[in-house]
Amino acid sequence: MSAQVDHDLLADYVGGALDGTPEADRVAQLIASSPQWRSAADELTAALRAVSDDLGVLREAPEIMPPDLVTRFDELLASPAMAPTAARPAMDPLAARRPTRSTKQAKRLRKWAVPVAMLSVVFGFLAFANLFPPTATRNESPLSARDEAGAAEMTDAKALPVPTVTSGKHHNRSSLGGSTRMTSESVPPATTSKTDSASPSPGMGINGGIPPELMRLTDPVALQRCLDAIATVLPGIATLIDYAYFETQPALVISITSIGGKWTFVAGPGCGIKGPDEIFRTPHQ
Amino acid sequence: MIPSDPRSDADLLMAHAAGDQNAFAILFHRHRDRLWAVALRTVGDREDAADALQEAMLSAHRAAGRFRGESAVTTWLHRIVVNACVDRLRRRQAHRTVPLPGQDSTQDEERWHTGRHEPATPPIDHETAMVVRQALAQLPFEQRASLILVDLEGHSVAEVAQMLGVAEGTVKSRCSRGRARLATLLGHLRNPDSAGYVPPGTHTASGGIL
Repeated sequence: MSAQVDHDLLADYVGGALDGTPEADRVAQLIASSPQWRSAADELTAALRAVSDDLGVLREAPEIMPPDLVTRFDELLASPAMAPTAARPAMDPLAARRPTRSTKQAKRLRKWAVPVAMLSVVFGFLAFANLFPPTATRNESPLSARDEAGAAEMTDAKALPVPTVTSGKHHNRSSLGGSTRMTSESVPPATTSKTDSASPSPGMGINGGIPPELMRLTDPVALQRCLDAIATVLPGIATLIDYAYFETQPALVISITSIGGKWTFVAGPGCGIKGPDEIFRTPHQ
Repeated sequence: MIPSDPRSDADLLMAHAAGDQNAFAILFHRHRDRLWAVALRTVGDREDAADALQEAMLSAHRAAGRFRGESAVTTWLHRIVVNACVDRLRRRQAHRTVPLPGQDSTQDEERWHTGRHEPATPPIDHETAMVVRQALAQLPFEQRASLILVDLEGHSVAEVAQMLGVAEGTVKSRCSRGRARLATLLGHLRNPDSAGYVPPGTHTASGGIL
């Protein structure tokens, strides 16, 4: 009998992955009856012994954390953001040392963007609980979609749920309660939406629908990149993300708690691709 | 310098959850190098590994109060680290802004330590270690993570299945196929996809991966 060797199947068999399955019997029969399978099995078995030796060499090679990274982690663990009690404002541990944002400093800041963003989870839920009554329907963050069933205590550590809503509201500067930091890319006040301030679009309420231009940002990876980009210009904690509009433009309207207070940050559809794609930001009144 | 602490890992985690200011740092220092090795070997890039480990430690820091002791603390930590690494690799693959491990083995090796202080190491076969490391970086990351945890870190298949949230058979298969692929990459086995043999042992002479 002659048969083309399925090398993945053969690897599974030789490695014991098929033990106790009918497939194991089938592969054993192929090895017994087919010279090609027998030859391939012999070669693989011998090769795996050599691989085991090679892996043994790597196993004995120590991978000790380099001193500069040891320092980085020591600083992280000693930072206020890593205090055991989560119910305190998150702080950017490097803020005091950052008079200007040089390239090198910006790179260091990015190191802290992730932890600050991740710590947003705790505060996000707290803020969200206050902002929305329990009866309000809301979307679960796409970031939590990766959680797998089972091993709950382990998946708990993996979930990064920042509360999101799809209000469909047309926000503008007055509805967001501020008038600062209008960027050049934003729509001037004269072109403000004809709809009422912060009013929902027709057919869109809570969970009414996500503007097509923002669909990319429903992907957890894209959303995280967006939040990371925002954290480089406004370090803080995202407490709520609204898929909405800002003065006719589809935009993420994000509530952020930073060391300097609470902000509303408006990001365009290019967030995460074109940096934070900032349209507008304003401190909470 | 963090002094040694007689408390168990689980006690430290509980103490942290109860508000002990130092417990988490002690726990991290206790397992730092092993977790670092897992991150570095899984991600294959020094900076990405550091970022992944940082994300993992923040996750563990935050989730400590929900640890119920159903697995060893080290198993729990390893899972968080591996998941952070795999998430990072998936992100990297999705965006393709950074070459995947193995796409440029020279750069990979440079990025491995990037001119930083090399830790003192006992006499080992550095060349073989480097070549194996490069070959490992060319495996699909699911195979690589399983192989690292089983063959390099010494975890059982059952533990790794629990860490990765997959069936034990899946871990066995990933390891088996990963080892077979390593055999080809390391020149111990002819490439099933090519007509010719790859002479065994050539990697040690050339220092490169075939």
